[in-house]
Amino acid sequence: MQHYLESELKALQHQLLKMGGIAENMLRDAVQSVLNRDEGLARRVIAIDDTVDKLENEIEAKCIQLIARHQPVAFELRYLTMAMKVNRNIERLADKCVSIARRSIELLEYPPIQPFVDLPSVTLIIQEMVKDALDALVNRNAELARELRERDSKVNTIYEQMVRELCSLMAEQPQLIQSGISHLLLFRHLERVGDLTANIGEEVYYLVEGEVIRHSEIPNSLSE
Amino acid sequence: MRQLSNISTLHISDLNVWYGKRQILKNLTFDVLANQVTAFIGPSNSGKTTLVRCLNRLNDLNTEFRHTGEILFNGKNLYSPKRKASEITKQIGMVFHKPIPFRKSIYDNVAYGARMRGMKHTAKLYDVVEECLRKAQLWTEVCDNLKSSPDILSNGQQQRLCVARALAGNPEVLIFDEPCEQLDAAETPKFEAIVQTLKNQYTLIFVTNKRRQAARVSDVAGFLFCGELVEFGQTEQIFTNPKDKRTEDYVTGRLG
Amino acid sequence: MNRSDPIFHIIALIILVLVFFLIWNFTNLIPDAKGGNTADRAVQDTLSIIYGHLYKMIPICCVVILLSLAVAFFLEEWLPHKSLQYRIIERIIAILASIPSLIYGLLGIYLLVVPADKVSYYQLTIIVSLLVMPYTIQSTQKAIQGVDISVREAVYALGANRWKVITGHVFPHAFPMISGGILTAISRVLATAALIIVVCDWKIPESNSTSSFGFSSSVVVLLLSALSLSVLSSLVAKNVNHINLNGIV
Repeated sequence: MQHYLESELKALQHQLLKMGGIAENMLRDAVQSVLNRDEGLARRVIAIDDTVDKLENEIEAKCIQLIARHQPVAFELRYLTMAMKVNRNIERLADKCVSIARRSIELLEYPPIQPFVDLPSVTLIIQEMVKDALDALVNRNAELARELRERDSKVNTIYEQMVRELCSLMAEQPQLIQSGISHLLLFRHLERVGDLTANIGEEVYYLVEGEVIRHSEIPNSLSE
Repeated sequence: MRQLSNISTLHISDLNVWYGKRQILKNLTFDVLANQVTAFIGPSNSGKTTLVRCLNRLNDLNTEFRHTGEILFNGKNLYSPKRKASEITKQIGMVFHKPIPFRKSIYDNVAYGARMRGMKHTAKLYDVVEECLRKAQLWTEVCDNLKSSPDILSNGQQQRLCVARALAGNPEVLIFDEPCEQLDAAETPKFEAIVQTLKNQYTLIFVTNKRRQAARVSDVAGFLFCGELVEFGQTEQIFTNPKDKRTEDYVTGRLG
Repeated sequence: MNRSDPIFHIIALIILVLVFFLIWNFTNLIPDAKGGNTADRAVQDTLSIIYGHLYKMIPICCVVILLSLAVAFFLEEWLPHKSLQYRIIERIIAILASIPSLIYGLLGIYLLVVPADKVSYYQLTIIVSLLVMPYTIQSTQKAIQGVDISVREAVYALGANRWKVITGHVFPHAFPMISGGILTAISRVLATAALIIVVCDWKIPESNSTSSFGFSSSVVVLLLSALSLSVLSSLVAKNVNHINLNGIV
């Protein structure tokens, strides 16, 4: 029987990874649509979200079903609770990508403002983070999962930097305020993606080590 | 999730059962679908065993048994006067709450089931015995001493031998009547795994008073309480969102 | 332990043969009772005739035992236990079985043999069946009831019909106890015969001494064989308990 639950858990992980992969692509495409002012791409991102929502429901139902039927303990219990939270986080991540895509469509109404050098680089970091979060889940890599928090604080630093730049830009050129606010929201969404990814890392860490690190201090080495 | 079939193997409607003056089952109506595990849970004396014994006419042995209502097996009346009980039991096998090996060798125990359906040829019989023992996941443990008495087997192995013997009769439906009652913790998961593999080829009915076990093995579950079928539905639904208060109390452990 | 079953039964068979051989031999030793008054002679003649006819009981015993087995199986397997017939028959058999065997013997002699002044198969059959049947039926019933209901159900659940269940499972499982019961019943017959000889012998003390010696030694032989048979039957029955204790059904 135990191996029966194991195979079910494997199937569940497969679904989670599939969902994570979709979210990862959504993030890439959403940011790409902003950079390239590509409306079609943005609309595609928004359309894909339905798939993710469906997957989320499926995974959640599966988790509840497995808990109800097998009443798991120990690792299996941690796995299922983690799966439910990761599931939720990935779905929200996908929602953020949709929001980014919406902003990208909105921004088409305004002339492009000065390119943000940091946007592609921070996106790259976040994409890496999402990828590593899923890797950590597959390989049960606690170290990689814990690192995500540190990388998230790095993202936050860059985000603050970008917001400061944007503020000074808006102060100089008031006609850019509308477009600037859209950008501001866009950056905010991106930063949230980083947070959600860090959350996934925390859940994976809990799965592997059985220890909650959600509200503990981040070591100072990288947060500077 | 496996695609659930919707071919009804057994159709039970308005089944009432009495032993003498005592009514055991009251107005049961449900369908047992093919290639699924249908579990019946409930506290003791709720009529679970009586119910499954109606389904293979083992209750005919009890002279006080009386019933009304209809049981259709593949669309034909199970209790029609033309059908012999021994014909029914060939198609609806049963594994009992305790292992009952016959006083024969392990090989002959399994072969007995096959001989019951008229098999004689020894070489073919040997194949059937091997196949059934493999299905019951016992072959590797007993293939070296097929000729010895089942006494040498553990309780769990004996119970699996009984499964193999029932399979040798080539039934369409297999009833398990609290099969793990006398098995230890290590044997029970093995037995449940067998049930999982068997459901691809057989229609299984599983009676248990362990709700967790029912949750693990079954696709469809019915909750019997004092002879009433309080709730009957998908196992997930029974264990996550029961419609009846009594079911909720039972699956959460407050009742029985 | 299953293997020891046949050994017991072979021993039982050997002892049975020996017993009947001894009895048959002793019939030659009995001198014909002559003299005395007619009534005494009649009794004495009867006694010697009974003794001489003991070996005739062998076929009668066989038939009666088979008949009792049939009755017991009919009662247990066919008649519903709560039906009126079952309860009446069972009660009658219980009463018949509880009557001391000596009473059957004496009644048989004084009601059947003495008035007719001869021993025919007809009279012997009645006496032997009264002695053997109730007890054998009762012990066979107990033996059948002792077969675990689950074995029966397991065989039925494989699609066997009633006949297969009885011949293939109930009878083999109950056989040790049934044979124990039969042995006890036969030992009862022998013991009764011995008792009758003793009782009747005492009632006619003036009969000649030679026959008296013949009677007493035959009494010893009968009692010894009865004793050995009942010991054997208890051994067989013990064997059954032994099997049940080990959970082998």
